[in-house]
Amino acid sequence: MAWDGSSPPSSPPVAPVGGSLFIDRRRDQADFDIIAGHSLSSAPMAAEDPRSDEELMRAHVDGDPHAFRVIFDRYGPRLMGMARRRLPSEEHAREVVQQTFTQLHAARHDFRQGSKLRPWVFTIAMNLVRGHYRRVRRRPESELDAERTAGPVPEHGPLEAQERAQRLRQALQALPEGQREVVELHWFQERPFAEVASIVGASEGAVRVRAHRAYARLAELLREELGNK
Amino acid sequence: MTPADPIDPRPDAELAVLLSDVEGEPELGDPDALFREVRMGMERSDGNAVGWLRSRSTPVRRTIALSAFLAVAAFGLLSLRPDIDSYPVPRMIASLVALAVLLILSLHHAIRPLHEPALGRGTLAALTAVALGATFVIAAVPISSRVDPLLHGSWIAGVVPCLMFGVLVGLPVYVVARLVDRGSVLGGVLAACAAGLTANFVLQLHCPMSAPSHDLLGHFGAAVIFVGAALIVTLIERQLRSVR
Repeated sequence: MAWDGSSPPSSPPVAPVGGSLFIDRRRDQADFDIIAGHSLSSAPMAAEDPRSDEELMRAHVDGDPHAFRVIFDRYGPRLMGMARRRLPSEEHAREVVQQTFTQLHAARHDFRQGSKLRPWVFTIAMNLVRGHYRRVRRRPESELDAERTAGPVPEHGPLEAQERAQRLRQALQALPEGQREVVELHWFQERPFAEVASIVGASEGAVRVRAHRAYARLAELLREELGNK
Repeated sequence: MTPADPIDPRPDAELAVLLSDVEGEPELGDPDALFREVRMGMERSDGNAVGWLRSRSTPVRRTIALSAFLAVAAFGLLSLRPDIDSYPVPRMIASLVALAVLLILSLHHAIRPLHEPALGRGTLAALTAVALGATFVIAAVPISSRVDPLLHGSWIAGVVPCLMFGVLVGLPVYVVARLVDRGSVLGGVLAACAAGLTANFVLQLHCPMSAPSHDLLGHFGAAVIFVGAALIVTLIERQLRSVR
């Protein structure tokens, strides 16, 4: 069953035959956590702390020495996944994750009652990723292609699944940046369109149009890939 | 594969299964090591005056930058041009208001909260163009009652002092705006716009000459120097980072 993005998924998608071990375990826990209202993390510290993200951020502003580590444990893996999908190397991804939390700390006095932490975190990370692409100069196409395909590939599972994941990453990289951002936030981060719009700084209508074009383009690209096998 | 619904766009079932192949959160490697790096960054920023400034809330940072402009503008008010009594009042007010409004806009966008989407290049270009355009128009439109000193060959003598004076009074605004900036990629250009607008604001109040030839080179020129230098610095920084 395809997830429509407008509400938390009611059941996890079926894994393909020979699919990656990345898939269902995280989604099952993710579904439970979304329904239960908890942030997503498998880290023991984050799972034990009952405070909401907003309570943790306010505690951090007030000087709680442990609150920020809990925030890091909750959001670190998701940010790393997003950064690895968007950036050419592990080193760049780690840098973005590190800078995201450093900047979150620097911006702590802007956090007010009623603010939501999740859009903050992803907006800061997205801004850093965009800044990375603005700074990168044009390189020889072969070098750029090598970097584009250097994203994380499932380390477990059959070779065919790994190759399929690699081709899918290449298809994602072929999307314009605006569409790639929307797919990242809407599909991989499971954000509703209203939140995606606030993070990327566009209207909800524009975001929906980008998502429509992105999914249509991905379907077209992957149809070509499958047809070439 | 069926086409996506534009009203409620979603990947169809086949694409959803394929997208699931790249899901899953990769390990952080050594999360403690990464968090130590985060902690070091936090301690570095908290351990100095600049970090303390940058950690203030956005309204406070904007107020600090605006205060720098007000302090400089006060100098212009305290040393008014000798011909202030004969200078057309509507033109003076219109010029000062336009420069002040654009300056506040520039500072507002230069000093943005990190949790808001970054300013687009199109918006930045438009703001910069409007800021420079306003200073150009103010400098280029002559006052009909005044004689252009170009005809008398005396205008060039005042250009260099005005340029230097403009850069001198604009520099504090640029420096303060950069000090309170948390690291926006294009913030330097907008800070330079604010500095150029400050220069023209003070020169409008202070400079005794009022001729398009002088104003274009000596006043508008100061704004061009600030924005041009900021663009060059931004390009150089981008080149240095791209080869890292």
